Amino acid sequence: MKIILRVNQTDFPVEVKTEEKLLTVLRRLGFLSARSGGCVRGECGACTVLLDGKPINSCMLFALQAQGHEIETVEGMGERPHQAWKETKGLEILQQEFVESGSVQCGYCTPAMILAARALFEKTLEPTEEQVREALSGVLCRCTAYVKPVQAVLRAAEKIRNGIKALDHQQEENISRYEPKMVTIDQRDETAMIGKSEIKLDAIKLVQGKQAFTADWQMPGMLYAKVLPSPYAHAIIKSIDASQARALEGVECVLTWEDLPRVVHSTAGQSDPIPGPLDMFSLDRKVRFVGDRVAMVAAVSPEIAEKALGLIKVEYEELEPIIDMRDAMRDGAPIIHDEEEYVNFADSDPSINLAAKIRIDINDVEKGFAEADQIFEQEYVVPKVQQAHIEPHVTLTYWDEDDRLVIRTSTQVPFHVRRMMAPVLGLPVKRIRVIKPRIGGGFGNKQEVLIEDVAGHLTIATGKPVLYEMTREEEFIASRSRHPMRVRMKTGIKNDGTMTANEMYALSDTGAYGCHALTVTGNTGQKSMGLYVGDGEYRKKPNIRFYADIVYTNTPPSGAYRGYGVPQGYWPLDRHFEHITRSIGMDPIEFRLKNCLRPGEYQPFSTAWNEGREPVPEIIQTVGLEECVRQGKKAIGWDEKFGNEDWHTIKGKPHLRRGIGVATVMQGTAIPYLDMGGAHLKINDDASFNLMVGATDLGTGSDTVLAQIAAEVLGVRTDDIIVTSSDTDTTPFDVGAYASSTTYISGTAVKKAAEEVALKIKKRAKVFFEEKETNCAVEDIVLKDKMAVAPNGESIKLEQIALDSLHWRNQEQIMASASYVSPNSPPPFAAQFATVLVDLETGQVTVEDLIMAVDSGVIINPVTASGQIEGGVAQALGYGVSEEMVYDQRGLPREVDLMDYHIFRADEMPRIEAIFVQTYEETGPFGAKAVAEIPLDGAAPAIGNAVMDACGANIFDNPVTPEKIWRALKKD
Amino acid sequence: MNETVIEYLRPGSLEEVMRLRDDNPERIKYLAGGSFKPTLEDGKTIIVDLQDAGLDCLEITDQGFTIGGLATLQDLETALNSPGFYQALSTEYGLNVRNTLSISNYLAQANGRSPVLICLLALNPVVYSLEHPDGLSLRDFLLSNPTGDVVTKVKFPKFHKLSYEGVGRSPKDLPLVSVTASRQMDGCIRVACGGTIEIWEPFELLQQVDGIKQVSNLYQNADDAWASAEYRLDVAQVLLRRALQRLERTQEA
Ligand code: FES
Ligand code: FES
Repeated sequence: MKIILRVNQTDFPVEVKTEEKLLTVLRRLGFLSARSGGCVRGECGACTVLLDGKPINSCMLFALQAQGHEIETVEGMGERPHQAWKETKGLEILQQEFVESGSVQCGYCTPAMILAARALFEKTLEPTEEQVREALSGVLCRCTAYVKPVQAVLRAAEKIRNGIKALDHQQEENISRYEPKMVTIDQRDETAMIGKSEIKLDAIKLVQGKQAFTADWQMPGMLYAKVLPSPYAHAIIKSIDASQARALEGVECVLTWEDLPRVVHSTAGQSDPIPGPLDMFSLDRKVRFVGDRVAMVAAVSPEIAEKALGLIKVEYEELEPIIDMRDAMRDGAPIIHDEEEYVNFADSDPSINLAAKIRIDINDVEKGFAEADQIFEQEYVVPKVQQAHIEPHVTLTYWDEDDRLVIRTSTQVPFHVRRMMAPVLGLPVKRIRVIKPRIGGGFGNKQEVLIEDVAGHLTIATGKPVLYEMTREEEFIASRSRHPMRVRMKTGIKNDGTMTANEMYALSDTGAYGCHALTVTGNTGQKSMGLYVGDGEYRKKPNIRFYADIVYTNTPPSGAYRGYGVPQGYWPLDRHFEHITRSIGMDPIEFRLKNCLRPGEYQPFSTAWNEGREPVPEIIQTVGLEECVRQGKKAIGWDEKFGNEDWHTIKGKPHLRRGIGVATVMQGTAIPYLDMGGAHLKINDDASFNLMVGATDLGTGSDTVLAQIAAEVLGVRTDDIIVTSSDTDTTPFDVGAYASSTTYISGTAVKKAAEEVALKIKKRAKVFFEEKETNCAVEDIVLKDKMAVAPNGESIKLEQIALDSLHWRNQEQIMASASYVSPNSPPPFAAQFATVLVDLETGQVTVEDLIMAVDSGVIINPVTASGQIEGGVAQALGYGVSEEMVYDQRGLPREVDLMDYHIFRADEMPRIEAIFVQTYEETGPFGAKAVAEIPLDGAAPAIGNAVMDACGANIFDNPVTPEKIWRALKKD
Repeated sequence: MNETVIEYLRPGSLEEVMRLRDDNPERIKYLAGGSFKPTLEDGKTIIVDLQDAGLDCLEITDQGFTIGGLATLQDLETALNSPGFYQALSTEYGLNVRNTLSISNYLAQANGRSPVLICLLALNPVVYSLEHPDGLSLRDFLLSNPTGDVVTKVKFPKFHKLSYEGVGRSPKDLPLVSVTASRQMDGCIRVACGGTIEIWEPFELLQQVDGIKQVSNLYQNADDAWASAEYRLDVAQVLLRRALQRLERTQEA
């Protein structure tokens, strides 16, 4: 059917199918800023367009319904100010503010937010913060906590009101900036680019909604993949008949377990050898959770592929499932992995449903308990939660002209994808190329090599390009999630608050497959218990025990989720400590600081554990925790609130009480002697540089940070560095974006490569200086402002040196490659504070403030780093109060969409603030440590502690839901 | 898939819609505004898009107002102009959905977990649809399996005030328990309760003790995966008390 759609004031005649949604047709017309969050219920708002001036979800209308209406997308707004000889009108103020404020993290939701704000401006240019939040309430963002987008909209309105143009910085003096609070306790280098809030390199394209994400690439003849999920938690496929599906017009291929080679593998995107069991197949004749794969279909449209799924006839023999992790190792429990190809790792034992086992004893915990005046024991439970990145998993595969398989995929680990997919698809590594475009958020879930095999098999079978984009429901039932655990704590304390021994036992649920089973749970103990060593003589010989059993169940597999096991450790540990301090009548902050790690001490776990590899004892050099506590206390008003009865009560509302809580936390920075990153750098004629890195920017801004590091060394501007990341054909190896390693590991590799390039530039500069009779040593030449400068002030432009090296004499390509693997893992530290309001009659808890003061070493880019903290804290807020994935006895999920799995909207966020305490970490590039994961660790226990402070309810299981508080209060 | 649809029509009035309906009852797929899941069922070969049929208008009278079934939830909010309704609506949906979802399509999928529905039940409107042109009470309409039907208009009696109370895990989470009370023009108070998928009959309140009894009856078996009956029963009583207090306060004001 032919219709005319009017988009951005232009008529587009277009042929549509009757059932096509407006979203689909707009994307086909090239308006890619309308994105799909895989929704079926209009939940995410990523597909926002303005229809007659109002923000609507374009997935909720047929294209036919939009005829005769005015549609607006961000493609109709501003563009980059100069496009060669063509002057453009430049970015609109709103777009510019989103860029400058750091509102663009992954950028997947950005066009939607900009449009929502634009519609608001049609109503008022003097919006209150509440109005802005309301305007943005239809667009979910999982990266920013909406902090910077709200600021950007308010500031854009202010600028428009005051008649300030988008790029007119001189007139902006009276308008607040976006910089977070920074306190420096040790910073050594004089730097030009480090510590500057440079705008993200990819922000300008993302505010224009340009082609950036995997699903934005369309290819001629492309097919769409769908996967048939298992309706049973545990079953054998007795028979499968796909003949009707195969016969459906438009279906090009249906694959079942009978069609594929059986290659046992793991989906955990980790270095070789993967530290976990090999226990899964692309398709198997056994299904192990509701949502497990049964068959794959490729068809000419998603609708036909979907219809074909319904035509596949499967006969199952149901088996008894294990849903509760406590049942996994009981006598007579059904065995989930009885396949003969299963490959053990370390202590895994499928005959007792054990995926991994950890036994760590540091010194003598029994002696420590014997020396204690009091022993505290308690069990805590942490739930399964979802990463809920707004861009779903999506992969496009195709054969290139040399019959190499190209995998364009939204992944955090392109090099692991290439290595791990090779055997699964039956190709040598050299015949696979993996390209990572922009990623719409991953948070660990895209550290999984989850769906590349589906598209890959279907491309191999059909010879055609295949796109597989998961739906939101599939994300819930068939991707990965945070490991749920039951954690038992036992802690020995002397009367003065000295910890004498600390023991944790974690029963961890890896779900149906053992991805990340060992390493996630190892972190649970290592990075939480490792923070506390005790005081006095115990500092030298802390008594710590961490045991864990990681078991299989018939629930969706757990995996990597930002924080990687550590939030599961801090909920029990910090809640337990809160209980202890209140029981012994000690100040909670004093107790934590008395027993925590100090500079010059060993991270106790480093002497005993290294993710299944040889331990690497490590002395911790920088600990800014005390200053973090000081800053956090000040910002939240701890001294005025804690213990102040007046503050806790609300006049005229006896059913409400306020509470305040704190948690202190530590993360890691990369995995020592394992995580490796490479960088390649070369100069161009105009003294710009191409920086090729295998590191994976998944919205964190790491490309920008790496460019800043290179720019600092080379004395150029950040936008003189053109970053390519990542393509396994053209960029050097990098383990990928996980373990908070990019700035530290890849950043050091970039620094090394840049230093080598800088040396070559200086050597050439010396020749120029000598020609002008300026004699100086190479090491005395300084690179700055795009020039090489001799000690006497003589200078030469880098562009001259570039042209000289490429064209004039003794030609050479000035370039260098470097890689880095670290012997260290210097931890970041943080103090997380929370205030809450508790309704004593209903148990409802409202979080009012979340303030995190963080020691991440020197902060390379304050705005992007603070965005990481804010977004991470918001995810942790969900872990604290609302997020969990629940299954019934048959393994059927309660949450399959973003209505039931509620993530916070813009109009309900508490105040979130990040403060940086800068230490100088000698081993990091320019003194930097990690940022990205630590915000996940403290918010939930701080909220739990604040609830206890408010009303005495000591909740052992997160999230802290109204009914749990109500029950605790009833019991009292 | 064969593209078998042969006609796409945008009738200009309800009368025209009814004529088309009489001629081809089985073959018509109605497009009644924005929907959570726009789908086209097999066998539907005439698409009747109702957006020009005058079903999104608002008519205000002394007795209340009538709003078209194709008006959006945001239009309804504007018409009701009630802080209580706004609170419920903004809890359930962000602005985009409010701007997109039509009343008709909302009602086709609403259940007792929806705070919006609890408000509407308390307001006791009459729903007119293609299947029920003479109107039904909202609850009867919801029990009539409205999927596939199209709401043409909803008639709201004038009311004095509406108050909404709900408890969720976060301020904008779907509530585990919700209670709405409306004071009608004759002074009568009408209460609707929700939180579970079931749609309960609202009740008229004579005294608060009656309300407590009614609420207890409703929630005594209201266990589901989200909350226990014990919790709901206790908290619903608190919420009822607060909703009534809020009505009182408003009256004094
Ligand atoms: S709301 Fe349309 S794709 Fe999510
Ligand atoms: S920036 Fe909003 S979802 Fe990533």
